Amino acid sequence: MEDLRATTVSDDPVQRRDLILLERAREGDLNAFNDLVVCYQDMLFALVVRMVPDRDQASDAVQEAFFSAYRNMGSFRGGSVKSWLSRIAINAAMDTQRLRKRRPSEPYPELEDDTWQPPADASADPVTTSLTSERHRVLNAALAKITDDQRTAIVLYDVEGYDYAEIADMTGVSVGTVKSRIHRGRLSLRSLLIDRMDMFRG
Amino acid sequence: METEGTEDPALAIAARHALHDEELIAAFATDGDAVDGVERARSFVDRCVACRDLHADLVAIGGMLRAVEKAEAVAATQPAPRDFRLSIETANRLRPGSAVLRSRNRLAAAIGSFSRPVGLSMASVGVVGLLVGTLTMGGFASPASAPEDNGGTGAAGVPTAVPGELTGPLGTRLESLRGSFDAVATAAPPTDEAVPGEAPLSSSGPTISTLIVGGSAILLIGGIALLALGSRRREPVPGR
Repeated sequence: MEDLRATTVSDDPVQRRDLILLERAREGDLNAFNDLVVCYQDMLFALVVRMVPDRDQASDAVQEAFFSAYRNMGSFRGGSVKSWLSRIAINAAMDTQRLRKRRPSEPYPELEDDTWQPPADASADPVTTSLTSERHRVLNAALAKITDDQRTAIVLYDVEGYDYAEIADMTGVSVGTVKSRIHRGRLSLRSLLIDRMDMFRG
Repeated sequence: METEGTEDPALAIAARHALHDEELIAAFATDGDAVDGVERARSFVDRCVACRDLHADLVAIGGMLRAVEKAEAVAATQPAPRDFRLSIETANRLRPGSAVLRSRNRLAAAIGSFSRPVGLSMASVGVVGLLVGTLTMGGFASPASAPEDNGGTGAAGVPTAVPGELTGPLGTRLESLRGSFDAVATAAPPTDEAVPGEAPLSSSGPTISTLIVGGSAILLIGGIALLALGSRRREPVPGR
């Protein structure tokens, strides 16, 4: 087994810490792996719950992602551990979406948490804050109604800031398909929000 | 194919817009000048009111989406609903290794999951079998004295209740024997030989019971062994 610290030199202390933990985990140190879990479980859940807007299913997907990461530690070839875990979590989320497609199920419930809320701005007046919150609530409800593929592409591109090529690589489709999903997803959102667009234009 | 001849202006705008490529407008709203066919998209937006509204709405939606916090920022204030750390048992189950090792672990896990329920079933059947076998052995010993105990003998001292209770060849044989006994009833005193049919009963009963008890004991021991095997497999293996 190659030494990750030897092959991947990083000046980023967080990345260096992650590589050391992963190296120890690969040597059989479960506590080291669990330290990585603690570091990234909140971030991965926040990412997955936007792709799978059902908290229970999102939790299961994140758990499955960590199982998969543990099973496949040997396949890590250096780079960012965070990116590696994110990709595994995105794959787990897409697996959950595929499972939902195969089984008839209820539409996603509206999220009750505030993960879509913008950061609180102390200088903003209460009216503006309330309006912004309402915009995000409406946007979130609309996002839960578009297709899984479109939502995934939009979340990864617009919210998380991945580029087209990265999303294509992660989702296993062409760049053209990724673009099409984003564009059609936005058109679907506009159709769903057409009666509330004044709220967004203002 | 423009619909210049339509009388209602709103309808005419809608009809014209229906022919415009909305996905191109969406691409233009997302990628701006980098989109393929930017000139065509720009002409739609410049000349069609519906396209202009659509473009403005899509830009606004894109702005709202980009204003949403990234997962990393959300995680700083909102923890995951549960702890995803792996237990030792789960880690052992998932432990990476060679293909041969993984296959062996899968087989061992399958045997482990199989041994407990089967062992429990075998042990239960064994215990029940032992109880039934023991009771049967005791039960077969008593019929020899039954005629004396219940006093159910006929006028000649022949146990009248026995043929009625027994069925099959044994019962038939006892019926014929009873006729013979009736013939000599006045001459001969009643003896225990009046129930000769019991001889096979009393000799085969313990044999069957012994088989039941022996088989049950084997089942019980085998079941306990499987249970022990299953319990040992569930113990965590040191992780380091």
